[in-house]
Amino acid sequence: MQYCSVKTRVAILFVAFLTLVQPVSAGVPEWLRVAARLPVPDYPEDTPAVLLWQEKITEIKKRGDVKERVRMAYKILNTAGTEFGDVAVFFDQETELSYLKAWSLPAGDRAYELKEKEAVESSLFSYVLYDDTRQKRLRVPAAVAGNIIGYEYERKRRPYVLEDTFRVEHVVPVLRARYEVRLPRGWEFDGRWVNYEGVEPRLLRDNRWEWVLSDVGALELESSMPSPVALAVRLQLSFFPDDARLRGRATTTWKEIGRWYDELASGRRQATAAIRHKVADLTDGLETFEDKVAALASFVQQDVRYVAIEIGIGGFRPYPARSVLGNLYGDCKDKATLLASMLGEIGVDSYYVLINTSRGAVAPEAPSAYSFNHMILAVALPEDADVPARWYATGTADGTGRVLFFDPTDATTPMGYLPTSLQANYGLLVTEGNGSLVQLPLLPSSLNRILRAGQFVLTASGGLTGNVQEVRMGVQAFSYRQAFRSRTPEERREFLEDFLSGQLTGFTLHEASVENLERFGSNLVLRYRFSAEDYGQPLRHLMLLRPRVLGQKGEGDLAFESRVHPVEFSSATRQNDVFDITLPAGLVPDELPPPVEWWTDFADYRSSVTVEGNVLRYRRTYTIKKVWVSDVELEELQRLHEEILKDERSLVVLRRVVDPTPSPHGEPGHRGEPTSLSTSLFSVGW
Amino acid sequence: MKRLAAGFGLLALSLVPLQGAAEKSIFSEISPAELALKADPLQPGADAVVLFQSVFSNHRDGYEEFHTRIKILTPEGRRFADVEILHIEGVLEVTQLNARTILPDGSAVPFEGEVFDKLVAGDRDGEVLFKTLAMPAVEVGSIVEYRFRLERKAYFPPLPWLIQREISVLKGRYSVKQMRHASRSRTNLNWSYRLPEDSVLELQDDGETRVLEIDNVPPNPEEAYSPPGDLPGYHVRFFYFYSKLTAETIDAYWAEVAIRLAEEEEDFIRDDKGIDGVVRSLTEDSAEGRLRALYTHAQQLTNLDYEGPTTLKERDRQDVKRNRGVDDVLKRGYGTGGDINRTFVALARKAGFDALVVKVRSRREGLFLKNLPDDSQLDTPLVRVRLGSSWLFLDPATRSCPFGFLPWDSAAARGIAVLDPDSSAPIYVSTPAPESGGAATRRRFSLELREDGSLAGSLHVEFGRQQSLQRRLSAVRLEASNRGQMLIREVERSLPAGARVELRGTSGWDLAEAPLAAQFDVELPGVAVSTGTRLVVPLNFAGADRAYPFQRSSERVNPIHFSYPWQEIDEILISLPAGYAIEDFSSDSTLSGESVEYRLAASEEGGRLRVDRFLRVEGTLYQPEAYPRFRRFFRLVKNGDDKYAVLQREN
Repeated sequence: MQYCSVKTRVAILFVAFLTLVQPVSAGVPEWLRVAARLPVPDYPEDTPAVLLWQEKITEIKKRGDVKERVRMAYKILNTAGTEFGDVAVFFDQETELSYLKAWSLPAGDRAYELKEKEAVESSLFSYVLYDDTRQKRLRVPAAVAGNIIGYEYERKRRPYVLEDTFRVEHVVPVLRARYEVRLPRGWEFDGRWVNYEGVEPRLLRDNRWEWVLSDVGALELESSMPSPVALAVRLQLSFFPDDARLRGRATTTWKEIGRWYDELASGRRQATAAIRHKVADLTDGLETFEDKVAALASFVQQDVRYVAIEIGIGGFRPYPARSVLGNLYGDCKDKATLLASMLGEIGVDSYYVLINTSRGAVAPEAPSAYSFNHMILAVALPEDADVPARWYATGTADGTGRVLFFDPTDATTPMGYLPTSLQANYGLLVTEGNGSLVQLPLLPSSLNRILRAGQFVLTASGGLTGNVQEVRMGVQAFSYRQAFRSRTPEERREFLEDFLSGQLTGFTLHEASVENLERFGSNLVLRYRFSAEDYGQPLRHLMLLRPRVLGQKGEGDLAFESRVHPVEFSSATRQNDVFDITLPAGLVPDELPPPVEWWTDFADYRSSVTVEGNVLRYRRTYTIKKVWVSDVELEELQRLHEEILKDERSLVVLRRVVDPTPSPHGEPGHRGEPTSLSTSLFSVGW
Repeated sequence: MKRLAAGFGLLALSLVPLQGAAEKSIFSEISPAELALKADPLQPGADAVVLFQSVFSNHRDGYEEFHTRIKILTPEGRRFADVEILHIEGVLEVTQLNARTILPDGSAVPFEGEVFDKLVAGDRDGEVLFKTLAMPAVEVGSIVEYRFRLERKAYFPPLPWLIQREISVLKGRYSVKQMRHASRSRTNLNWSYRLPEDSVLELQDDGETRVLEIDNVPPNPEEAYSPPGDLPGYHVRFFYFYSKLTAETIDAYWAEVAIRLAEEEEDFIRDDKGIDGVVRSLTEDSAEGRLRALYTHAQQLTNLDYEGPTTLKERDRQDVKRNRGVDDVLKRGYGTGGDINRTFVALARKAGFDALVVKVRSRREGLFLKNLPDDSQLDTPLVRVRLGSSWLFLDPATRSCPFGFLPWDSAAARGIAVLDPDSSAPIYVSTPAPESGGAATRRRFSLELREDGSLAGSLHVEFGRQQSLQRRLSAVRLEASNRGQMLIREVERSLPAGARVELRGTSGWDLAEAPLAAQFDVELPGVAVSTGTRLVVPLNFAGADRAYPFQRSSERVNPIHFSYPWQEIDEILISLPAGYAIEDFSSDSTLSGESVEYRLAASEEGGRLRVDRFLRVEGTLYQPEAYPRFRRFFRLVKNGDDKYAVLQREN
């Protein structure tokens, strides 16, 4: 046995006691009584609950069937912890929920017991049209501060692959967690911890192994943090059966997972006459590799609607290409399958890429077929093909040569690009009888740009009128395109008004247009004209003017005193603002904000305000160069963020000078005494 | 995804094949105009449009038939090809479901796929499900069409017609065939509705079917500050009544309800020893003092609606029983909100006051519809009691509700008085409209400005009565530390990002009559901006969470509904850093009208910068015509708030 810390040994002794006790025939099981007696350390006041005891026992039968028993015990520490009185257990057509019970142990009172028949059952409601997963929910009585809530369930399933995951439920602090696996004689396993320093297994008896953890801290939630899925503590296990007939379900490496998936999807890409006809129709008259691939990709991405129907193995296995084409609908794997089938008809190879839309959720060191929730396609790029330079999302993998990664599900991300959540993310590229984990590229900031330019005229009373042109490229175009396409013209105007209302007062949007909304490969261009009353803030003798008319940089709330997790940006980007404000006669700059320059490894920021004649020019460039900001860079990030906020709030002080030209409206730009605005508006009818 | 809220019913859990083969005879021909349509004439750019929608409510034979034909106009509009129909196991069954897709060239693809049952919720008593189907071969220019019947297997109230949807309906036909005899007392079909002017349910020649044809219905927009209600947009809902609905008969209906409720109340409010004991213990001399003492007594009873055990098991365990009368309530010390208010009525009457129960519709749920004879609207019991020459509306059941005050959802609410059958008093009641003075929150900042632009100092907040009550109710089950956290988070939201807030103390959590107040130490980094020799202080630094509604220029369709009128009163005093003096500040802003008022003024007071801000909005409900004025008001308020003071460094 390996070295254990004192804490771990105490935990093991405790666990040994806890697991030896037998459940009593009725009432509260002894494991829960013991867990309830555990001394609870002092946690911060806002800790909602502590997970006293988490246990999962996975028993694998000789034929690969699995029985798992889960036990959980929470102590509720304050009102926010009452949510732990809501118990939900999931099952589906291939997972039998054979037992569910829950208890509440009110302080100084008898326990409550709830049985499965008291549960409310429901389907899952999500983006999936139909999913056979259901949940049973129990509302445990007396789920209030000071009380203990416990539940236990048993599920039986026949897994598609021989692996198991033990997720430590550390949304709150975990006092003790135990995982046990019971394997048939002759079976072996490989276990890897993710986001946790290794706890070694202990052999109990007869190929039964256990892992015990104690005092696992709660997963803090912070703004702009990586996905909680990527940070969750878990033990990933793969099993090796001694029965050769089961070996095909053993997936201990990415390669084996790739092979398993290749077999699972075998035949699904088979082209039919209808598919061949459709391909011929779509590529008719097209000569180049680029045009043909783009035509097929566009068809699947745009014309096949997203509909997910997932029943049993259907959560993994795509529908055949022919039925996807026939129905003109499918989910991500169905779309990838149809596109692969069509590409095959023009002699282009392509490969499934299994991926998770939460960047970082796939841990390279812990292979698991359950890591993924999405599928895209890697299109092989023949060496002799004339590949357009704008197909940026390329990479290589063993045995495939150069490939282009393409997401046929994301309707607004054109060929050559990738949705932000997939960039710098790991995917399993599946080839014939094989698979390899590849890192998808992070597209550079130069591709994801916003170029915003505005020409404005300031009036002597502070009104601002002007035109703005906003050119959006790459992901900056895709996100807006998605937002605009799902809105009517009226709603688009409201969208723009909402944007302006966050930054301007008393504005009127006079006109707005959008170009290239449906030309996905082109830059999205917004043009709008607005006026804002009292943009310049007249004081009694001065006027204040914010030179940064529009746009707020920075992602999320980065005003933190300290943080636990690194910061993750969604994508690399470069954003430029140039605003020219023509000043009226009689107002001259008295003080200008100083220029700002900030350079770091992960982001740059520059801004300046200059005056040329009577034109005030504000320029800035904000560049995010990489998506992860490590712990050691956080302080620098915070200072950068403060500089950006300061710059965005900075003001130009304008001084009034005597204007030799008489104004038709009286003394230029001087408001004089306090003004009573529009009283007549409100005199009647309210 | 389109959920047909009107649809309910049941199919067995197994998949059910559709009757696609028969589709030709089931669906009528698609017209060339329908095929050629490229855009919604009522809402250009819309994703889809309902070409035709019909509902046949056959109350006589116990079913409803739905028929919908939708044109897909954009790729986004294809979501209307995913159909979900709500049904209830053993109550409403989906039958005769047929669907098809018409391709842009006019050819039809019958639906022959699988229909899934998606469980909304199920337990031992039954299941509520969505019948779910995905229409095939749908592309832009396609028409999706489906029809089905919902057959009643057990009693279920008549389903309403939902005429206005999230997309336009170009042609709609709705018909209803009435039941012969719903019951001995309810034989006549009646309806309440929200429809365009001149819409009529025409009686057909058979004398028992009515038809409404209504075309070109635009979508119902989602608008902030819309009145509450369960059926937004144009709709018709049906009910059976003993006679034709007229002003007289509806009055008679509510009178009947009032009498029935009065009998129930009188049965509950029995004169007994418990009441005697409480009333005899009163020591106050004045009538108001005695009434207040009784009010306080009632408030000390546990309201099971939001206190005490939350699950039935706990109630069983704790032997929480249904009260049968006032004596039970007084003996046990608990009751529902209704029990407590009835008990207060009994106590007040015993003490010689004229008191009775009134029942209103909570404005949180909707507005009371007098012409809808449905007594389930009356969801909130209150008390009306005469004190001197005036009537007071009270709600002692609501914990911490001050005497003479009502929670916002019970104020400006309408309903009926539960009257003695012989009473000649009017049945209908309206509770008093709230005034902004009852919801005036005051904040006093005393801050020091530092040369680096940060502000630090103290903040005292005193919540208005309405805001105090709402916070007390939110905190009923919270520990002291969480109550504090709740207030800290609220203050943090109102301050610039990065503000540090520490709670120094609170008062008034448990006192109904006193305002809830809290003191904080605050530190706000980077508020003032340096321009070189000057520091510019934004005067609205403490309004980060301020709502400036109605910024959009769209035409308003729905009335404007505020939960309650309110006032915001801020007083800010800022000491300047050494060596700085006020050089200039924005002019005052003043707006005033009958229902709204706003003032912002900056001044110098003893070398300090003083800012006073006042906002007042009266009223709870305004017609859409008021929108432009509200829009302009809030634009001017936003503009008024966006002011500065400039400090100059002294040489």
